[in-house]
Amino acid sequence: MSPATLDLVILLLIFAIVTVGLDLIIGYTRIFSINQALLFGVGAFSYAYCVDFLKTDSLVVAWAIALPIAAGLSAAIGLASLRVRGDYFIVASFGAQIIGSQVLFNWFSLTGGATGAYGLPFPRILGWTPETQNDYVLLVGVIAAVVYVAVALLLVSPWGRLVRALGEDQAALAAAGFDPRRLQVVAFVLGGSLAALAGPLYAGYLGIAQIGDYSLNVSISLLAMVILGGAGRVAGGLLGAGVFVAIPYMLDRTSLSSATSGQIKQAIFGGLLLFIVLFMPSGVTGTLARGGVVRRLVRRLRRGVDDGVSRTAESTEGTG
Amino acid sequence: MHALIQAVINGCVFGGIYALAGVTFGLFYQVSKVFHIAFATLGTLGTMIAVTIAGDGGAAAIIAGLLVGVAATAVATAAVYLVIYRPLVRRGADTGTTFVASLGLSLLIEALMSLGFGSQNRSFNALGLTRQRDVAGFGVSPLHLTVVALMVVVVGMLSSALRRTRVGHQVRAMISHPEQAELVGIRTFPLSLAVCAVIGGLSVMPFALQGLNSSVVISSGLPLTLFAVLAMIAGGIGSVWGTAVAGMAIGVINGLAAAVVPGQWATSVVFVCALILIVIRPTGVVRTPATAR
Repeated sequence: MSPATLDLVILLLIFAIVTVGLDLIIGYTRIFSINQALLFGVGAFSYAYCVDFLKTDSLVVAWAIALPIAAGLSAAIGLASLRVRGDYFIVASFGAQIIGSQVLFNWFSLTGGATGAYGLPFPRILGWTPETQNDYVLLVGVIAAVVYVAVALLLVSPWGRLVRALGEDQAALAAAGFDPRRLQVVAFVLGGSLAALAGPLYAGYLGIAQIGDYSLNVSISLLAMVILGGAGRVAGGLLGAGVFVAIPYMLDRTSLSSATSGQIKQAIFGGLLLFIVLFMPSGVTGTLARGGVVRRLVRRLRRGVDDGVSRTAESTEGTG
Repeated sequence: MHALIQAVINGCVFGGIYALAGVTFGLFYQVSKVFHIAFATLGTLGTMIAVTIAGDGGAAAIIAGLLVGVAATAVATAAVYLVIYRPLVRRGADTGTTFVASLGLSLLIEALMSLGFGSQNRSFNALGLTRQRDVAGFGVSPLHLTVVALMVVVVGMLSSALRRTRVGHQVRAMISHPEQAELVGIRTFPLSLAVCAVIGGLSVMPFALQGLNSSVVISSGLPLTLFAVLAMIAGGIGSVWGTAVAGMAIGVINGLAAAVVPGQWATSVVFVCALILIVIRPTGVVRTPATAR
């Protein structure tokens, strides 16, 4: 594979870990998390801390720092806000992302402020350090595969069935004696920790950790990608990551005039988001699972007509 | 002490802007059930049209520009509701999906605006509205007073229209129980379309005021929207005055924080206060009966 393709594959695999975590949060528990990029950043800057302060490039040490911080942060956000209403969770999540970004921005000795922490080597794991891009594909490929298998197994376990029920009917779950809030918080902590798991891999691969890569805008884009990929499907997380990485990558390779290329790319990206939401309502994986876009469009138009008929019938019944 | 009072005065201007943004965002959210993140882009679009028409002209040109900008945003908001949000909500799309639609729309319009108007900042010929005068030792500009007065008038009118007029009752009924509202003969479709157009028009106000206060920047909408969302939730969704009070409080806290702690931490202080509020007062600053939600 060419270096550019390998680059794409590596980024895709790293983001796939972040989005499967987010999918666990949004797709199954229906909480609207906007701080995934911050937790991703916690992972990245933990690695920068290891390299700059602890003088080690060990992935395990970086995880040992990042995972407790990310889990603790998620638990605090979840416990503080989920006890009241869903709306408050959005504020708490927004707030965590913004406060976290400001802390990172102003913690100059660690993050280098706007310039970032640079000179990070490929991380070492169990005494082995990847040397080439091919090695790195292997490293992130294995980790991503382990994460996906673990999440898939988790979702078919008894606990996973409870989490899936959470998205369907919370009242029924509570009536059956389970605490929906506790399940939500645990899922939120798990999903957020996956972002922190991916962080060192990303910073180590790029060789630099920059706060711009972990900002509110990135959190919003990640959220969009998971919903587009098809929230509530494990493969959707992977596809969401693909869209997140591949579309800007492909747009970067088109020969648009440089003066306006940024705006044109943004317009295409925005238009694409709108198109997918309007015409592929259950996300890309959901649409693929149920048949082609065109077939769905036709079916929907037909159903629209049927709906109209049944609605009229209902209202006649109602008045009669 | 003097500096702190001045910070409160300055904070009131931003607070008035946040209050207006929060109230319009909140009403749109209730009517459409959509987390309308493109709110900022459409408001900025109206302001951009206004500043382009106004050019270097005087008060008449600015007013003409604002009228056209408000009308354009009103039409655009109603069109967005009609073509994008309503079909999605009727199809049963959840908050996340409509949010992504709104995000896509926002990116698209923002990019088109940059292509159409150019990406450089614009400013109104503010006619000395921003020039500070000395009042009892404190600097106050005519714009300060305009923002606060406008906020009180608009929020007061909206609140009493919702509470006292027939249309207002219909709107509230439509928000809380759409199906029952239709059963008692309220035609919710044209009503919601009209409400979206009115709110769309009003939503230009905070952006135009922000433009008069500093300059019109195409990508400046997100921070303002963030505070609008915060005001809506902290004030209690469904409470117009609660949202306005929360918006003012956010502006004042932000102003005070900027005077006390280093400027870059001001936003964090606002969010910390909001998080504390969530923990100690889950119903918002103005208590609304649970049934009103």
